[in-house]
Amino acid sequence: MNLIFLAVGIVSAALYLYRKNWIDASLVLLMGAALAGLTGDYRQPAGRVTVDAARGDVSRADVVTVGGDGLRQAQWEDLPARPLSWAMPATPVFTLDFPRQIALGRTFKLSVHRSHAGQARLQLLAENKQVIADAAGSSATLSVQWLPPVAERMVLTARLQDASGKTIAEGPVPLVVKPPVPLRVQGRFGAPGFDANTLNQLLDKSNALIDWQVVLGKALTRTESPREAFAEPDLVVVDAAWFERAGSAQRSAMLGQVSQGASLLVLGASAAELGVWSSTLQLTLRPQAENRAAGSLLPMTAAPFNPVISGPWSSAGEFLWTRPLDKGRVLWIGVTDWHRYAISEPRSLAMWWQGVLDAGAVRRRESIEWLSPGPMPLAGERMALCASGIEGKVHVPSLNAEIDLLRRPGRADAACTAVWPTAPGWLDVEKTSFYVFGKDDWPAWQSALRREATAAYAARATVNPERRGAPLPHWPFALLFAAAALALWWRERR
Amino acid sequence: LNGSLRMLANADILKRLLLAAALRRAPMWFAALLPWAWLRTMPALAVGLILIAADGWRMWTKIRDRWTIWLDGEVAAMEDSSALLLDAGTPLARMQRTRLLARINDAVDSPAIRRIVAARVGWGWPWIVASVVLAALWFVHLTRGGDAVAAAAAAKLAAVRSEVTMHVEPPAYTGISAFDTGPRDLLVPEGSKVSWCLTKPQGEPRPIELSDGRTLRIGRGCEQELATESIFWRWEGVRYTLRVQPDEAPQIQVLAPKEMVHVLARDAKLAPIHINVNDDYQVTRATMHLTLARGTGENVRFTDREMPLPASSDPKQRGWNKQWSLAELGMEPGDELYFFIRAADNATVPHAVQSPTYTIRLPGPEAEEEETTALPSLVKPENLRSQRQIIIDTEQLVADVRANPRLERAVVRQRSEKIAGDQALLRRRFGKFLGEESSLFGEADDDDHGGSGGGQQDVLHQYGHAHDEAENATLFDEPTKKILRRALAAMWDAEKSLRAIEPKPALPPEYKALEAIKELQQADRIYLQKTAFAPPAIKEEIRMSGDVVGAASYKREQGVADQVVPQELRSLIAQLSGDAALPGLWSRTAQDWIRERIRNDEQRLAAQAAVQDVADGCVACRAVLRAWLRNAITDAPVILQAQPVVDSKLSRALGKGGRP
Repeated sequence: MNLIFLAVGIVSAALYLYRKNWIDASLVLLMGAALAGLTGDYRQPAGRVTVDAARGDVSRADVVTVGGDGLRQAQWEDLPARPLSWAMPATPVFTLDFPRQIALGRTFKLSVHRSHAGQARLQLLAENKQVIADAAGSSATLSVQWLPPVAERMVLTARLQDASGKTIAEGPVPLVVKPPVPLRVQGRFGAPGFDANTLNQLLDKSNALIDWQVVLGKALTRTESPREAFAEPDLVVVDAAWFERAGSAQRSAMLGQVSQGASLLVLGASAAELGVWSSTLQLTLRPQAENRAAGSLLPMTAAPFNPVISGPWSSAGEFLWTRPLDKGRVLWIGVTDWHRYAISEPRSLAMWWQGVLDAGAVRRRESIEWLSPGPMPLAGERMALCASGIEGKVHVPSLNAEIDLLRRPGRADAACTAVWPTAPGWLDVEKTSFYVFGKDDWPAWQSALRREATAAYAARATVNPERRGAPLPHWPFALLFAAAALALWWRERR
Repeated sequence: LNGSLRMLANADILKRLLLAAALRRAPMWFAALLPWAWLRTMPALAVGLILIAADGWRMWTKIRDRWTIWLDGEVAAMEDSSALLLDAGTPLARMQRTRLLARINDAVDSPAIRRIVAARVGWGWPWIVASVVLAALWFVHLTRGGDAVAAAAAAKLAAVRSEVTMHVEPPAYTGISAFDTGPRDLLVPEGSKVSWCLTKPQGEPRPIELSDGRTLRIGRGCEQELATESIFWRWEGVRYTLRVQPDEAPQIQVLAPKEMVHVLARDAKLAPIHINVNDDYQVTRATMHLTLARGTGENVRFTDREMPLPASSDPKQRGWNKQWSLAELGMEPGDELYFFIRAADNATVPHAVQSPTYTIRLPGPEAEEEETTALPSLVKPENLRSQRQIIIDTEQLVADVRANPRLERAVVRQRSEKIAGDQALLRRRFGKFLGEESSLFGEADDDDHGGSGGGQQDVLHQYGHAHDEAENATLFDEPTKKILRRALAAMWDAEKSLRAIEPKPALPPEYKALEAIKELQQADRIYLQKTAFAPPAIKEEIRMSGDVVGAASYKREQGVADQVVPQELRSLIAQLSGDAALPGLWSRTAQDWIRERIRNDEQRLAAQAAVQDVADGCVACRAVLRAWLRNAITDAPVILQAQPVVDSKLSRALGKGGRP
């Protein structure tokens, strides 16, 4: 269009020139040019547009600048990716690492990862300001552990002190201790002993539902039926003797049960018939040195035969071997004599057993899972709540609202919503709760998170694809056109 | 007309002068008002305003009285006749006034007015200073007055509080007289009778709340409690701590001899014994028990004696620092004297304590001692360091060297050599059981007896088979000797390392030696057991042939698991997590738990204070109480459990294709 206007202008100017009317020719040329300028999309020459991420409109920027520790993850997520001009400050910061939710009976571990190593002390305090766990050291990572005794929701306090005992940082450590789901155990034993008995007591103390059968002789069986009947066990424990003596139907029924998703623990101490194992579980056993001590924390005796890593079998820890079996898993325990610790070290023994269960992938399926809304949700900031296994509305009592969970790209398995908690504290959502930190909590941790988020943003930065200048304003062209037209009109009228 | 003109002109000039003066003075007034406004009380503001009003009035009167003179002084056109504007008696004066009125508007213009005011009305600096000073004085008065008010309030409160008085009557045996006091934090001896009384009982009696949840209703009568443990009590919202100082048992110190087994020099004539017995109130009885052991082997006689410790001027203390002559003690060479101290205090139920037993030994002649070893005994003499002590010494040395790498070389050397010396002594002692030390290194073949020499001896050696070697002459059997040899070899190794001032590598052989020694002792014991018990012979023909009578299959229901934490406490903690009302008797549950589990006085009082706070309706204190209750659970259970995994559509879909 603008080219047409320009052409018309040039033609008209040529006509005026033909009449040797220089001024009118230039005026009409000006008019054509102005009209072309008015209708065309002309832009200022493109330059490097630098915008402060905290203030300006980043979408126009070629380079984004930011000062200090940068912005938070949630803020960066709202901005398009641009090259970032930012120097990471060198001030000491730290991050905290702890589970927000654990089951009763599991150990809570709080770790602080510091950017600058040096002698320091980490303390975990209860609400009454009594120290419940304490660790000192000079490495960059310090950890404290604590075994919560009751299922409840609490806000503990962590304190980081320097070498002279001066408090560097102190802040809340929220923790939800959930009541554990009782384990469903099926035990079948052919070689009774203290070990099996100790395991039974441990499980009983853990409030597990136990279906226990000890074969003492051909016609002598001791059976313990569970408090509540259950269809599918989470865990099947057998000793090698029982497995070897069991009929093939019994064995295949058990392995069928395991392949549906349960875990099978084999106490290997009473193994004698190697052929059974290789034929049923593709397990090659090798004799061990007699009375070989096993384990460093709790020394036990190695079983007479232990597996060789081959085929589907792999090592799952010290004297533990495992193989998957369809959806389930089989774990071979190659030590014996743990009953010696039942009285002297009951807690260490229980922890060792918990480690064995975890190595054996003893799992309980849950239908709902709430995903963590980031390491440190802050009051007044957007907080993304994602859950898998829930669809539709969720009730948020503290906001007194029913919120829709929506599918979100990048979360194949979960539906999400966002809330803006106004005050720090617990935010209840359905049957779970999230802790919202205050703006002033853990400033050093906040700095570290900002730095991380800013570094991540810098990593995903790209060059601005529309590297164009700002459009030229239209009004000067209109004015020029009007002025030229008026001048031409005045000259023509004369 | 002339008159009204005059009035107008006068009023106009006066007004303009006033306005100009007020404008000039306004900043001063503002500045003078600031300190008063800063005091932020209405009376102060009023005073400030009055001061300004006074200044304004003073300025007004000054202008009113003198404006004509000022006008004359400043405006030449007034021809010194401004006074006539106010009053003109004579016709001439009236004519002059008329003239003045005609020109007054031109002559007295705004610049002229400003000039007049500038020359004659000051800024008023003295006023500002005076105002600030006055305001400061006021401020001082106000703060003092505030203190006074607070003091008066405190006094009033004290007067109210002093209505309750305490009477503390410590137990008679403490010797502390009873006293009265107002309510305050107190430290009283255990067993004191504490009573609370109201000086002016009136109206409804206000209860005293004790930290353990009880309340005392004091009215006309007093309430008494026996102080058995530290508590706090609350009256009218103020908590007072009543700490109980428990009665300590007497403390016995034996300053000399320093060692538990003190070996006197062979020629010693004196044996020092220095004993101190202290109690917080009174030592009522302190005695030294001496037992003298004389003789050796089976022929040992004991003589017991008991001696009271002399009382001193201080009833809290008894002591005896004396160089006993051996004659006094009745000791002769080779004797051993065992002594211990018994002491009791004057508490209602006296605390009786006894010190460990100390031994003073006067060595006998050397030869005698040698003879006593004719019968081999593995019991080591008391003056030898035991293998365990040697290990402890070595570990201490290793730890010291590690803790302080710059420990002096000479010190390390000296300590290491001392331990090596001890080890050598012990080794020699055990070596005696094997005859000679040399037997350690290669035993001579029993049958390989040398053919040299001659005579009768020779014949005996050739044809007889007398194994009368020193080693074989001991009463030990071969296995025992084997172990002994092992112990000695280990001791040699340890000694070698210690002499080389390398205490760390000495530890493994030391342990080996200890193990061997323990084995020896064990072997001894087993041997004795075998001689004492002879089990009846087993009839092989009926072995493993019995009926399994009474052994039958059984089936039982799984019992209910023991709960580490009582159900009621768990539900209380759960209820304390919310804001809802707590069930009745909750405080009893909490108090019982706290009393049962929290031993530390400070912590118990803090926990009880938390119970009281929660009972008062403090919601924020619930978390604190929960923490106290939770911390009192010492044996948190490890609960074996499965790992939760989410069973979502995606994981199910993935699970179909692959393995978990």
